[in-house]
Amino acid sequence: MAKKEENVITFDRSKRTFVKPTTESGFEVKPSYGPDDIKGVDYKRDLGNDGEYPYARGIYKGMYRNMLWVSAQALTRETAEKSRKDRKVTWEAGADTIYLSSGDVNRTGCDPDHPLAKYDAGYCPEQFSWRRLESDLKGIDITTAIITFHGASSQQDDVLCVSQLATIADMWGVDKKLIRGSCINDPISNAATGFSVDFPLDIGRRLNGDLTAFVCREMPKFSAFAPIAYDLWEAGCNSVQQLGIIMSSVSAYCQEAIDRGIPFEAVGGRVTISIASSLDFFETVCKLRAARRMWARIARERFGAKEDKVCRLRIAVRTPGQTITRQQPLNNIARIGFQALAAIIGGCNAMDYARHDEAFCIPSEESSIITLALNHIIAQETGVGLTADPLGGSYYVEWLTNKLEEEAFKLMKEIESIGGIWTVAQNGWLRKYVNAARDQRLSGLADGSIPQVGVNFFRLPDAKEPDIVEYEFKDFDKTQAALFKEVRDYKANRDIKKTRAALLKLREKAKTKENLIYCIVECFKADATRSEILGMIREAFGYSYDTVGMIERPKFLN
Amino acid sequence: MVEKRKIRVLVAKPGTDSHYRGAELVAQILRNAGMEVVYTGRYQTSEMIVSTAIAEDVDVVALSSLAWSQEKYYTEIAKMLKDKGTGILVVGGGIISEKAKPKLLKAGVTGLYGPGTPYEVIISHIKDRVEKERWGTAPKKAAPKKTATKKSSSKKC
Repeated sequence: MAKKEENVITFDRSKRTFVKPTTESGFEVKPSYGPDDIKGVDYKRDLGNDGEYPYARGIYKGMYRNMLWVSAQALTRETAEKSRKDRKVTWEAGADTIYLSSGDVNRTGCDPDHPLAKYDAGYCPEQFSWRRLESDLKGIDITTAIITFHGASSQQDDVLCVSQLATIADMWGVDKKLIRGSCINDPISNAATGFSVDFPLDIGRRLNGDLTAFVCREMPKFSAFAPIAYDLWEAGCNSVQQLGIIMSSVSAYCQEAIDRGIPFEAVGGRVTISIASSLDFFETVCKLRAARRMWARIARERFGAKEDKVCRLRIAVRTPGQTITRQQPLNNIARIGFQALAAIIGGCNAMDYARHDEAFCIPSEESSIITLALNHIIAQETGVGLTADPLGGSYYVEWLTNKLEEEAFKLMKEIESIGGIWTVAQNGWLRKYVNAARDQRLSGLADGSIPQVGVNFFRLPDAKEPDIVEYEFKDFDKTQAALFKEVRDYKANRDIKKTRAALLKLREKAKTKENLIYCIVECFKADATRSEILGMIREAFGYSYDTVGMIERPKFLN
Repeated sequence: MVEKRKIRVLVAKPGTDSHYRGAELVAQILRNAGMEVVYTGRYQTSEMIVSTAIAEDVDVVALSSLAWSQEKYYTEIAKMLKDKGTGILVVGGGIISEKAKPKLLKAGVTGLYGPGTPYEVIISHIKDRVEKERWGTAPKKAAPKKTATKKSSSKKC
């Protein structure tokens, strides 16, 4: 059925030209660059050696010669047992850290017995209680493992996960000061992208600062926030927009901690961002270089950092799911490879790969192993990591790095001039800004000015059904029934008086300026669940109990 | 000949899945194609979607979800609309697994728009179905049809 396909770029094959002669951020690219394009660049001031301020060339001397980037894998299965089994497979295939993504129910702030969770509960681990997270961490030495919470798009999920981790450490009698890892904790990008439930930003801001202060005091080896420019890319933002917004956010989160009495040195020294490596190769390389330089300058000039080592920005990169196509899915392996290559040449500290089957199903074991092989090919076969910042000094790369930094600082200034990042996140300006970026990208994909091979460029109308082995949820009804029973039993068998007292205390404290994380930990210890904890905080801030406004406060809390 | 009214579509997002851009994009595409579109927003139960569809007197419910629960929601909503004798058509989009496709089609959920579907495919599919099934052979507010197919899929899997 060779049907005429619409939405396909008309491509004059006799001319063999580029569809898009600009970078992702819309900069016109000249056919060649030379010394005139980087006039005024001062090596020491603007680049520095690897491991030296302003860290454009990498935050460590020699970069990967000391240690390769961390290869992370998001891997989540419906039960702790299955996660453990598949985690072992990816560990053996060479993944360094493995993290669990939260399920939609967690991210929405519901317990699995919520009416909205009827069909959604159970596909991912639902850590409604600290006991659930404990069962996920069974067998892991939490003082040596790196524990990453990726509550992407849902900051409250991260806050509650870290609180549960602190609870577990206390219950196990483990010193919290030894725990290493990170979480996203980024309420501003949540407000900007709306990827999860619209959680009130005033609560988000309070929990963000409280968690940072808590972590700096109690878990100093843990990163209290790793703002997620990745989500901004997925929402339509280009490199300039990602950098401008994320640097504004990082600064705002540091300020929140400082306002709570934490010295900048304690919070600035662990700053991490998570960013997307798009298919624009050079813009990705330069984006990472520009990000490090921007943060170094902000740390020194705005926060008055005295030591250089607190000016170092760690960057975790994920290859974006949005570039994964359902058409000709094996092409995605090439896309992921190019994206990762750019991130590694750009000097990222950790890589997390999309899988080529993401447009079909949650990643299978097979696709996870393929991306890990990609990682090893880049690391061990290509040799790109042998020297720090191998593209540094290229006229084009230095020009583009400068251009990205300059434009991103302009955006930061603009945000400052209209009230600052918290204000624009609260009043809807930021969401509108990001939505406009989204519309631009979508129309580019629709009219073909952004080419996508197999989708709007050389789309093959007769392409055969792809050979993708989809992940299967076996015996899912049983898994789900067991989960519902577990929630019911947990709620029925706890010391309800203790639970009630802890939760009511939380609601009172939420009205004061006290750090809420200590109180949340007490609630978990008293067997409170996530939605009960959120409900109490929401009520203290004047919102309805339920995050989606569907259920009433449970009777025992009346 | 009576002037045809505009096709009315309810774009709806069942369950806790938060990916809303596909739904908003489809709403925009259908509006641009001259249809009247109501968007429920996120976090809807099947009951909420069905009652909105009836209250808004729509021709089509266009469901969007990227979560695995989509198969259960889509089949359940299609069944509820059928059981109430509404004659409202159901189409669905999202990351739909190849295994789920035959079950959804059997339940009357068509379209099944995955990533990268050209806009025209969505528009013409909805127009064709509405004209054929709702305005053509099936008169509006038809008596409830007894469905022979047992929805074992909505209980199992």
